[in-house]
Amino acid sequence: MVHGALWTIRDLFVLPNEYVYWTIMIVMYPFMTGLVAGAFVLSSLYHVFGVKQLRDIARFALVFSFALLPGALVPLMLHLQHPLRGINVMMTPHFTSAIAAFGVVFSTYAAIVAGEIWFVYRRHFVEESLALRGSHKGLRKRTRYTVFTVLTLGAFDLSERSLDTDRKATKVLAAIGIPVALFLHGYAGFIFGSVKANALWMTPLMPVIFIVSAVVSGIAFVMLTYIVVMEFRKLLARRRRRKVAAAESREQLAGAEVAVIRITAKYLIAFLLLAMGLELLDLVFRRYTAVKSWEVLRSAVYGHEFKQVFVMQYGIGALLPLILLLLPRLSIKRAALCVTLVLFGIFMMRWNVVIGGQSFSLTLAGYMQYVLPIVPTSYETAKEGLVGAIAVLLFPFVLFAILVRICPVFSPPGEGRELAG
Amino acid sequence: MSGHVWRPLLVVLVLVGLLFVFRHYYVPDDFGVHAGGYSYGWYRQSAIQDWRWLPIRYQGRQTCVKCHADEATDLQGMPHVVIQCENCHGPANKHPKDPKKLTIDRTRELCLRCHAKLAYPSSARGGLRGIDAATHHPGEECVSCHNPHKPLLPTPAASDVNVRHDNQYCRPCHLDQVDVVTGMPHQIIYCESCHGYAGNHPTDPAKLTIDKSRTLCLTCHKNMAEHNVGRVCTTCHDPHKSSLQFLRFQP
Amino acid sequence: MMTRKEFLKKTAIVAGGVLIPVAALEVLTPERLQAIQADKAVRWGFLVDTQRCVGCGFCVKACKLENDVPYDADASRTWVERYVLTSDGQFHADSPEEGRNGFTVGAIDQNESGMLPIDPKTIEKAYFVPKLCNQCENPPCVQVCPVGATFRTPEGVVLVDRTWCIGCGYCIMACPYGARFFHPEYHTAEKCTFCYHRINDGLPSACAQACPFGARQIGDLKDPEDPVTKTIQNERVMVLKSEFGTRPQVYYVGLDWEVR
Repeated sequence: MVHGALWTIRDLFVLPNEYVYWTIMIVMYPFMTGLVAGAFVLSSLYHVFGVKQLRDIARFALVFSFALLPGALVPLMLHLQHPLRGINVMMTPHFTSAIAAFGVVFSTYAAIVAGEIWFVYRRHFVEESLALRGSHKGLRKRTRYTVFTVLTLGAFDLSERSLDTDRKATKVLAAIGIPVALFLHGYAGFIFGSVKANALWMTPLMPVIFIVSAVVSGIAFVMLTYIVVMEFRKLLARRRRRKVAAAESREQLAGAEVAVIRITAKYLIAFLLLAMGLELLDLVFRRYTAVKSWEVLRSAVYGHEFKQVFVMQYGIGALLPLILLLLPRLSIKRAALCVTLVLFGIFMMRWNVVIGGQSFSLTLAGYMQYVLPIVPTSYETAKEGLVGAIAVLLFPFVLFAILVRICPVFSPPGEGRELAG
Repeated sequence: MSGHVWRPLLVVLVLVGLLFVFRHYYVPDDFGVHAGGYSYGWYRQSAIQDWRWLPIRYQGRQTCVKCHADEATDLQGMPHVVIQCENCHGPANKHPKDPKKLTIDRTRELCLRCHAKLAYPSSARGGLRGIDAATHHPGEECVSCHNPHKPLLPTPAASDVNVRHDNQYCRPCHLDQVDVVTGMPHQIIYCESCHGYAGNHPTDPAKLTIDKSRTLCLTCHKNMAEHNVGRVCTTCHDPHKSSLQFLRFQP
Repeated sequence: MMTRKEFLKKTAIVAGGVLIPVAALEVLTPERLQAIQADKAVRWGFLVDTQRCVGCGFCVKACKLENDVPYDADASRTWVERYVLTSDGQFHADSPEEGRNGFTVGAIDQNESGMLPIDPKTIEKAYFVPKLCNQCENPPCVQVCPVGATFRTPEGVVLVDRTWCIGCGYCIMACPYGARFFHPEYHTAEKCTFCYHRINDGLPSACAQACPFGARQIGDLKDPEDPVTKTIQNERVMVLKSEFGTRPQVYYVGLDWEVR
């Protein structure tokens, strides 16, 4: 069976070798790296630009950004026909190809985020290491001791000067990290935008659109997770009747949330408008210039793909949340709804680029329909279908749950402030 | 600046170093920039050899005719002489060692590749003689009437022991009949199919059969069984000028 | 005033600093570059005559059997397209089973939209166009390979290293001609190689040999006496999608404006 034949329905005049080769996994990859980039930029807004209200969310965003990284690798591994040869991208990179940038950019970004996390959490590592020293009770404690000691990299100095150095280093890394995070996602846009063979993909706007929509999705994602986590914490506090410190009654917790959400929402609106503007600009130009590919693009976008493009992406995924966000007195619930819709819209944007670009034939006289494999009937339909997509979505959360044991993002109230950054 | 700030960088550099060590063993030595520059010539040099020495499967007609001279002679002057033997019989590979025999594909689909009539102007296909597969002896093998090596004359049916000569044998004396048949649908029928084995005619036998029975015609024209029952076909139809437009008289 | 030690140290640094770029220069001398690129005295090219093609599909069959591509797989290194223009100004095109079993019905195979019967009386013109990898001089597929698994040989043929290809599919997306696909068994990128293993032995490619009517010919574009080269130099020939700047090396005689 030719790869791609399983989930492609061809219509009219299509070349024999044309199938939908880039499937849900290729949609997921830029979506995940977009979340990574966006989360990191949000975190850096605090570290570099000192937007104080973002302090709580910044630490959370940083750690989650790191948890998302391996999650971005999974769709690629599931897509490659020879996943074990994936390392070749780092061994013999061919830099005339945008994909080759992956090896370098990904590792650089991972190093920066890891470094920044190290500086933010060094004090925590040292304190844990010292606390566990000498206690040889139980495998779990010994493992934790080993892990934390290794993580200190031998830097046990907790003087004020030392911690100050940590803060400076964090700031530097956050600043360097912003362009790298943007590049991590921008190059994905370049991957598509530079393919001259594909009439939909080829546009210089593609990297820009990708970066802007990545920031949108990152902000929206962090907002959503922040809301979910804060609600969960409130629920816990209520259940256990825990006495919270005087500085943070439940009401004040809620208050702090809304302020953070409203500030972040303003950034979200700005970037969302920019993203929508760029995409509409692309569409308007194509219609105006009406080159040879316009006929088939038009009938694809306004025909087969109308629901995905105008109803799901532009309508439900952009216009609706935009309006809801602009209405006064933004509540937590409304914000949660809006960011979910925005995330959906950004996902549909990736879908419409990847799948949309393969919805018409190179002949410009035929169409291809992608049928997402839902119930897996084989290894291929499992890994490149809904099952694989869900696995990709869940993986970062699993990693995050593990990471949080080493790099806690929710310290008990009153303590957390002392962590660097 | 306290020294500890460089430690993460050190860790990264060590990892990068390990990566290069791994690379030294993993990447083949002949991988590099070759002719074509980094853009088009970045590859493992020995990959070219991988492609260079693949087995050759299609040997070409000059290999076949070394042993199959008969078929080669049959094809001489025939339209099918332009077709490679292996197109129909499959690649020779190391035949006759391996495979011992090649395929003899008797399906209609093989012939229909060219002879399904498609009257296309501006394409050589339009000039190829062909049939409508749905109406022309559907279900029958083409090769039961047509010899693919001598396509202008049919293969005599296995039971047709009468046929030993092709029609050129009859032509010197029976010029008229043979020439009249030429260009007509019945040109594909051997004279001897209807008139019997020529033997040493005209010495012996002096005359060949002229079989006017309906049975003879119905051998092929089965759908005419109900047509003018009781009458001899040759009353109206000239078997040599076998087209409908050449009825002896209009009914 | 410099001490001897300082002087020696500085000289060593300067000398070392100069040697590095000089060493680099050595690798990149023009003579060495020319030696690498020179002469392979052959540049393979291909000529397709669409007037002669009858759509028998023997070329597709020969290619698949010669080159280990599963016959019944719906993908091929080479294929034949049919174009039919009717008197109402419409054009219809198809490539049923990539042409491997020829064209045996007049109805156009529109895949999901079924078979479209064509009234032969309405046909203004109709012809067949065999297609294959164009072995471009500026191959976009080679440009986008992230790992160096595909490349252009000195004779101009674009090949894939099956041991190195990771199966990302970028080259398949980048080819404007749809010449590439994933091999159903090797799971690496696959494309026409001009029968590299045959042409270097003086044999024609399998498809050129199989074609009964001479619609396909392979030749050496550097040899002025080669019939392919002569036709390209002296007759009116076209290439496909030249606007992409790929500089394809498959030339067509008798191409029509509707050919995709």
